[in-house]
Parts: sequence; C-alpha cells; structure tokens
Amino acid sequence: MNDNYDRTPEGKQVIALLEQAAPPVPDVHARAHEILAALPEAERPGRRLAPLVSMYAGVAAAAAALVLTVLIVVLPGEPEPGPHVAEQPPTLEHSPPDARPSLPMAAPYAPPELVTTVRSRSAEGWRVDAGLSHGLRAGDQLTGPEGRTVRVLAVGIFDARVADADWLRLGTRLVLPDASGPYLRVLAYRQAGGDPGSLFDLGAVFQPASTLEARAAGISSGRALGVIEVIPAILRDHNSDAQPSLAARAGLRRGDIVLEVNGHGVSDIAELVEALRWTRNSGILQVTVLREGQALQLRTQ
Amino acid sequence: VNGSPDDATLVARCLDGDREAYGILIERYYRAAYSSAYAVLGHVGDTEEIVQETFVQAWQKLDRLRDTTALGGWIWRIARDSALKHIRKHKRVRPVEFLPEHESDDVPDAPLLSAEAKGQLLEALEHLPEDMRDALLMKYWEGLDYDEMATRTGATPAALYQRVCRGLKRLREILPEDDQP
Repeated sequence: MNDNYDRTPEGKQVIALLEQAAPPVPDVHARAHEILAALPEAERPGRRLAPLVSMYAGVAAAAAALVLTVLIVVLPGEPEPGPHVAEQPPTLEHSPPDARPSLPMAAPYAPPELVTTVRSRSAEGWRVDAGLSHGLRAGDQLTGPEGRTVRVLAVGIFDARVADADWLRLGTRLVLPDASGPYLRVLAYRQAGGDPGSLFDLGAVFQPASTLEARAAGISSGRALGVIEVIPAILRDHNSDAQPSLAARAGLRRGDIVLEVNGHGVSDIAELVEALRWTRNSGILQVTVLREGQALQLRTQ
Repeated sequence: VNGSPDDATLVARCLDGDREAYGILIERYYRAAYSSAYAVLGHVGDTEEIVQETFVQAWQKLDRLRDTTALGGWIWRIARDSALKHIRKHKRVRPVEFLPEHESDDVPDAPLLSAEAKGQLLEALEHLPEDMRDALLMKYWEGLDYDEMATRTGATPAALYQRVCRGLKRLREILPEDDQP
C-alpha cells in the first residue's frame, strides 16, 4: 500500500515541499577548517586512560560482582533525594553517558531519578525519549504531573512507548522516581563496555564473568562473558508491536556463559561486537553457551 | 567514498590525535549533522553554531564510540540532542527564522516556501516517528541514496525505501489541508 508512494503525484508534492524547506547546502570544506580551529587545544582525552583501564580490567571485573552486591544491599534502603543528574531528558547519544570506569567506588551513590519527555504520538501510543540504553524496561511505571502514573508498554533502544492516557501531551515530563533499577542496569552495562546500538539490538546485557566462574567453566584464561539479562522484545518501529529480540529468539538465558558467537570464540565485549557483524547482515544469531555445566548450541529460527 | 580512508581508519587516527583525519570526517558528516540540527532549529545561524558544537563534542567523546560503523548515526544524534538542548536553553519557540536565507537570485527557479508553510512542515516532521523522519531527512535533505542510508542505519535499502514512502504518506496526513502543495 505504500508501494512507490514517492512516485505518485501526492508523494511528489510532499517531496517538493521537503526539498523547498531544505537548508542551504553548506560549504563543508570551509566549515571543517573552522571547526578544526575551534577544537580544544589539549590532546583528546580518553586515549590516555586506555592502558590504565586494561590494567585494571581484571580487577574491575572481579570487583564488579562485589560492588553490585553491595549496591543492591545499599540501594533499597532509603534512597536520598539524589543528585538531579537527569534534570534534562536523558541524552540519546550512541554511547553511555560516561563510558569509562567511574565505577561506583567513587562515592556512595544515591541513584538519580530518570527523567524522560513525551516526544511524539502515533496511532499506537505515546513515545518517550528514554529506552533500553537508559535502563528503562517494559513494565516500569512513570510518574507525570500531579502524581499521575503511566506504564511503559514496550521499549526500543533509545525510546519507549507508554500506555495511552488523556493527560499526556507532547513535551510532558515523566519521571521514574526510584531509578535504582535502571541505574543498576546501566551500571552493569557500562562495566561490560560496548555500544548500546549493537548490544541492546541483540536484546541481551552482558557482564564479564568472574575469573573463578570462568575457570570453573573450563575457560583457562579466566575471561568470559556472562548474560545478566535477556530483553524479551524490542520496539523497532513505533507503528507496530515490539518484536522478539534476537537473544530471546535464540533462547539465550540469564546466567549463560558465552563461549562462541557465530563461530568465533568470544571472551569480552570487543570480541562479541566483532562476532556480531555477521548477525547484523544476516539477521541470524548462533551462540554456544555454557548452561549448568553443559555446552549448548543456540540459533535463531 | 572515492578512495578516501574508511571511518574506522579515520577514527583510529583521530584517537591518536590526528586532526587532519578528523577534518575528513567532519567533511563527510557535516551535512548529516547540519540536516539533523536544522530540522529542529529551522535557522541557519543557530544550526551552524550547533553543528560546530556537535563536532567538538564528538571529538572529545570519540573514544566512547565502540562501533565505528555507527559513526554517522552517532553524529546525527549528537546534533539533534544539542539542537533540542539549545532550544530548551534559549526557551525559543522553534523555528524563528523563515526569511529566505539566500537572496532569491541565488536560486532563481526555486519556489520560495512561505514562513508559515515551512514552520508547519518542520512541526509535522517532529511528529513523525523518528525512524521515518530520519529517513526522509537523510534522503531529501542530506541527499543520500538508499545504499548510503543502509550503511548509516544498518537497515536494508528496501526497508529504508518503505520507511521513506510511509514517511511521505504520513507527512501528507499530518500537514494541514490548505498547506498541501
């Protein structure tokens, strides 16, 4: 029904309108020069950290489990008002807000509330600008003005659909008051590293397994990835329902230790992302995992 | 494109502090950032400012980009977020400037769009689902073909074509009757 709409008279009219409203074509060469001149003088930050990070990677992995445990114990207590980190809606960058390990060792941490904004509406419902990569999950309950609440129906990677309510408007701010759940999810995600685009796209969240766990699983290097969450369905298109995620379709489960992905041995996130290239093109995921001591081959469809 | 190094190579060079490599990336994605921010701002001056800020930010955060195939989309997003932030900060009702930005003899044959029509179009674009809006902007503002869009988004060219057609259709439904050309 949408076939070749761009070639129909009406479609062409809309295209003409779009083209008339297009911005002028910039002189990219000249502008690139100006921008280069405006770059901060100091060497790009970040790179310097890398060796340090890898040096501590092992320690961090081992500490991660401990830290998480501690947090889980601490958080449900009496979360303080918390820094309003999310005074503005979560940014939608393709990178976690703070990718490198400002791990929670830094300070006792009161989780911020998660603030999101209603951005658009389609026939299926309202869309807000926080999603999996901000730690939001289907079922979370968001609070709007005057304490009214609305439930998250389905999540995409950077956005989500919420249930219909007559008080929702474009621009309505919705808050997840106790964001310790999302915070822990994002934290776990950050510890593993990696790009939300490729990993949430898969529908699973990973964490480096502890060295002991990995060794017990017969991985002599002691480095392995564990699955800490499988996201059953992901919203890919706001005009349809959430689709089962690749990880769910393949039957991946929380607690699995990943041995191979698409035939490549995988022991960290970088290797995983690399091994997923093939999946991105083929839409097929093949994983060998260790589950309850047994190596198991999983595959989508 | 035409024999210049791919994104991954250039990003690696940038991470070693090579500004020239970053210059190539800026040229490659300037129009992407520009289209993305302009759709929010509707104002050339503001857009240039935001695009500059976008590339400065991207340079500082480049080490956080794990998947270099996502570079274009990443820059697109930073530009959009910065533009939205800019609007919030300046409490500016979008869009503010609808005078033709070029003297009309620059583009003799281009029919000029009234300020109102342009405002309505930008508003309507904001109400589209994000994937449709992005596809339309990539196609008709940035001037990408479907293969280039596929590389940027990871979707197939066929799916992107569908998205464009659905976006056009939706846009027509959203635009007020009297505004339709």
